[in-house]
Amino acid sequence: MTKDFRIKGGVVNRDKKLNFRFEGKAYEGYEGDTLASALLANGERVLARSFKYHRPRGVFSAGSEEPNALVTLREGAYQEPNVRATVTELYEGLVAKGQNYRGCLKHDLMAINDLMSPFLSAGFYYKTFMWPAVFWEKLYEPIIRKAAGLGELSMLEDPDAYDKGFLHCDLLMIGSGPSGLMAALAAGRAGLHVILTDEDFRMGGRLNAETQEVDGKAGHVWAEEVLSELEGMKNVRLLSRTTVYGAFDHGIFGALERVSDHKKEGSGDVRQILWRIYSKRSILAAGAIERSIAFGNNDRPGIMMAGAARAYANRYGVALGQNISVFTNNDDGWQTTRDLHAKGVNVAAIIDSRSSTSQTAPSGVETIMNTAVMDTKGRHGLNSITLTNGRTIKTDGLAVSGGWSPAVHLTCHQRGRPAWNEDLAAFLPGGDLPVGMSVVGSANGTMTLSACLNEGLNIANKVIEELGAKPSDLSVPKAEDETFATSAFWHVKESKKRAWVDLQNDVTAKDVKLSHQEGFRAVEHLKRYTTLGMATDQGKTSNMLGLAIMAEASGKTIPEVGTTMFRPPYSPVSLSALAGRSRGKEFRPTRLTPSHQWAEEQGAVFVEAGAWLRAQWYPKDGETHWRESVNREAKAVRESVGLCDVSTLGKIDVQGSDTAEFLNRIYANGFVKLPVGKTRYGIMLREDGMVMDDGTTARLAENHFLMTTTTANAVGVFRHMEFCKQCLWPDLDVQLISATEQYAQFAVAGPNSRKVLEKIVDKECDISNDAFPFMACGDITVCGGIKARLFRISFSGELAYEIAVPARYGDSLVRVLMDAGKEFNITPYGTEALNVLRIEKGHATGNELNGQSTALNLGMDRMVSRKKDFIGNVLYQRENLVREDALKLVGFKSVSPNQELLAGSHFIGVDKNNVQENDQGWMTSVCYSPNLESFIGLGYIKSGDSRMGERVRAVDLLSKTETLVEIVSPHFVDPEGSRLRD
Amino acid sequence: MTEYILNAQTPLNGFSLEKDGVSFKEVSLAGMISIAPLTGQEEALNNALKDSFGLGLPKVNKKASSNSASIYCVAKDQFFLEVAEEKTQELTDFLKYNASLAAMTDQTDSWVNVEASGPNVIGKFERLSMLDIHPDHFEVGSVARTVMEHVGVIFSREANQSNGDMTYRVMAARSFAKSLEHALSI
Repeated sequence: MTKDFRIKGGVVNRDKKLNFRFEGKAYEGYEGDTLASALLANGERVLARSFKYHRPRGVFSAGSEEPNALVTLREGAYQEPNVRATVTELYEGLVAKGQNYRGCLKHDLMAINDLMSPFLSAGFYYKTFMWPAVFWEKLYEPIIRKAAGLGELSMLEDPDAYDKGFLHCDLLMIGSGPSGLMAALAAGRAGLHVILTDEDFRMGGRLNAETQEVDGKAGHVWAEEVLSELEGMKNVRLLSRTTVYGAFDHGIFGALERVSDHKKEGSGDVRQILWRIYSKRSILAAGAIERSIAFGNNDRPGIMMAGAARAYANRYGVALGQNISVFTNNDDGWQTTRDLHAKGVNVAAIIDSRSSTSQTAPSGVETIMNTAVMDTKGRHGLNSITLTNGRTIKTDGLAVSGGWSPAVHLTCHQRGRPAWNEDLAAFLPGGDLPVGMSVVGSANGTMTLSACLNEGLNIANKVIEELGAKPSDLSVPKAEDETFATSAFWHVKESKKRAWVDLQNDVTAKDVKLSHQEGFRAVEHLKRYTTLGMATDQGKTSNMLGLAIMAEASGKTIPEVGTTMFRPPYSPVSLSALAGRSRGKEFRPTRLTPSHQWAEEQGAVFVEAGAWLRAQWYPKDGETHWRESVNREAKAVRESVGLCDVSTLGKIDVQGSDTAEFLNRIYANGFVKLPVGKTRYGIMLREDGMVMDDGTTARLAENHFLMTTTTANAVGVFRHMEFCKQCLWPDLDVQLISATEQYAQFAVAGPNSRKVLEKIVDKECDISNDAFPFMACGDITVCGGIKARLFRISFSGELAYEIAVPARYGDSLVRVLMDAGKEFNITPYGTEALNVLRIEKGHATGNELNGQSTALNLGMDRMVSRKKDFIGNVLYQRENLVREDALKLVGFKSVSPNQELLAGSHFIGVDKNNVQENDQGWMTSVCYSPNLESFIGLGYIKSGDSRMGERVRAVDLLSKTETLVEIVSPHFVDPEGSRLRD
Repeated sequence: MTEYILNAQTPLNGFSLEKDGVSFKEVSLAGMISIAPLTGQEEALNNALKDSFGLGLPKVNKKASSNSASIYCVAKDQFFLEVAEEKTQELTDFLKYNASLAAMTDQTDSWVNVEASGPNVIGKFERLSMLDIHPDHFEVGSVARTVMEHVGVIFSREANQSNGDMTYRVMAARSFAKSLEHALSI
């Protein structure tokens, strides 16, 4: 029978019941509950099992700092592990289960670890699992992997959609408690563009959890009124359920908005949005986080933070227990006593570690001063506590108040350090805040209500004036300042049993002392040796205790020990949110060629070339293997005519009176004297003399050139040219722009290519061999007056042209060319056949231009001018690059024609050992040549050009293969080049 | 005698979409060129443009428009000129007679253009680019280059619709058309 822990009051909506399931059991809660508050209301205390010792754990806090109550939410592909029940908004149909147990949550078989705790203290894995070494991979590692971690992933793809966004504002308000609301209201009324964020689903911060009045009304009512006014302001944007998780440079923040986490999965909305917020100013009003006290067995279900106990009572109408007690080292614990007592909860006693206080307890509540709790009993739920004076008190809930730590995290995301304040026994924001940031309220060490409201208004007015606007006449509402006195009491030394410091990683006070003993005393070493503060809660409730204990052990002050580095994210951000829409097919955008749709209709197989999709081959019915298609395409080009979309190659338009000089400095060969109407192959070198790219450049007019580049280097070459123009030679009169997109360009190649083109080129344009010889270029018209450009260049080695029309006609042109070429059996060919043809011809591509080769290696040394200055000409002549036995690009033929060659294999002499000293070069490109009926390749080999006919072995030690090859000319087909000039 | 005819296609075949308070539609341009002034020719170029189209060279990130033409500047020395149908002959002539003043190229086919308007148009673009497009900061005639879902775009604010709806235009390289459509549609 579940006990009912609901009490009166709270801001949950008792008219809206919600059904949910936990660990297979059905429960009821209300709209406005969290999963934690609803489970507590139903008397469920054990929600989880601790990391190492598998101890039963319950709810510890009421916020995102929760270290214990981590559950797995949802099922199937929506399953999400390690979700904090304390911030999970309850919704109809919510399904959750516990984590980190074998067997069942209530009776976890792994609890045996608790008995082994002496062997599992901090750093145990540095001293164990060492011997024997062979056991590591087969035995130790699998066991440790299975035991490690808390929740589990579904291993299915995340079905939800996530998005990213960008917001701009004058003022980013982080936190909507009393100081945050005052600041937002002031800024909003002054006309600033304000974004107000809060990680909670209900704005108002602690006003929703406390009983102090503001302006004569309940705090949460005042908050509602302010929020209502803010909602009506056009210049204010409210983002609840939004965690500002990181403070980055220049006033830029990262924020995660949980858009539909509180709705049943599959609702169709985007699930989360990752916002980048650009702010002129920011105000951090993130409040303070309560910390615990370390004492024996302080981790039992039923032991929670005192401020949280108040929040559950006042906001959710849930009691921590039926007969509770309070253990405190400061005045705040007394407020919990008063609040719960006022709600009719029996408070057995309040135990205060201090010797005296001005606080008073309600009648009927025993006060025990100058005493501490040192042990507790009740494994599955607290049932008694033992004090340092020997007394045992029966109690089913203990509210612990160890003081408050300002949430300074965002002030330290840019390597800032917080500053220790002795009076508050807490770290406050340090001197080095991120640019434009101010801090108000408890985050700034302002711990009482009226002071918070005042500070919020004053700082906001300062910011308003800084931004050149006029503050409004808003004044601070009436409120009181509660008394605030705290003490630096961190752990109960009398405790004999383990006293927990970091609940989530199961780090105890003993572990901290062990770390000191082992010599890991610096706070960053303490963290890593014990794993204190390394769990998903990042030590929000525990870091302070840990470093205080370390300070004591080392005889240092707390500021001397210091804090560890704070890093974003403040609380966990899922990888899905970081990815946004960039997943799967949408990881990158795709670029489609003008003939793409037509190619799809032909059933083309596509390949990714950077962002482009290019047809790789066009399979025909009956072909079962890609090589069949590629062989057919390559043969068709040499025998009749083929058609290939080459729109992807970079086209750079260069104009200006110094264009020819500009190109002359960029290319290794000369361009100043290129006649108008002609095209020339050019190679450009890097500064270090290596070949960067090659292409053909056409001179369309005296001061107008059109350069082509390889697809892969289009952007790189353009950038290089812009750098040369802007930085190296800014005085040259030259302008560049990409023309890649403007034209659809097709290669029409083969002995019948001219005949096909003559059918579409308008009669006025003469493209006969005399009028339009090899390497000519010019403007023509086609199909009744459509402007086009024709280039007589050949990559295949056959009679060939490239025809360019404005891209709008691209789809139409390919269909027209296919029709015009039908009588010649025109064959579309893709990148694979293109590659076969160019290898047969001996043309270099990216494989050969790999950044390690020179013009000399490529056999193009004669192209490199000795008469002009150009990029790369000096270092090109380095001794080692021009040596006698330099690598030369040559052809390789498999001695047994059907033995496949492997690109990347290295050449070793026939009777030499396969060692580095005997390495003579490597194979760069290979293919099966249907025209020669043999496997062939291109590659670099020492002195290759003077070793024709010699045989070497092409060796690959990775696949353990080798082939006997013969060195031949790289121009396998038509070495004289007569077909080109036909 | 060729009997073939070439048909023109826009990059998105007349795409239009109404979704979540935003209307998108593809816009096609009658004529567009790039203009980069050659050394020392800015003033002459400016005058020539005024003579032919009634518009001079605007400042960077600004667009000057008339009924039949607009010129905008996206970077130092980089301008684009767009004309309506009735000015295409002027454009052809301008290219022919002013080659010594500026480097100019035909850009008419190079871009995909989508216009967006509607009550939620700002909310839509907040999720797409880091530009601050609040109406007070990004007025009519503002132009900026940015990235949307990894696609480089030129983004501009056009004149409001007759019902007062704010209107923007997104331009991307033509080959990215399908990816841009997808980025805007989801």
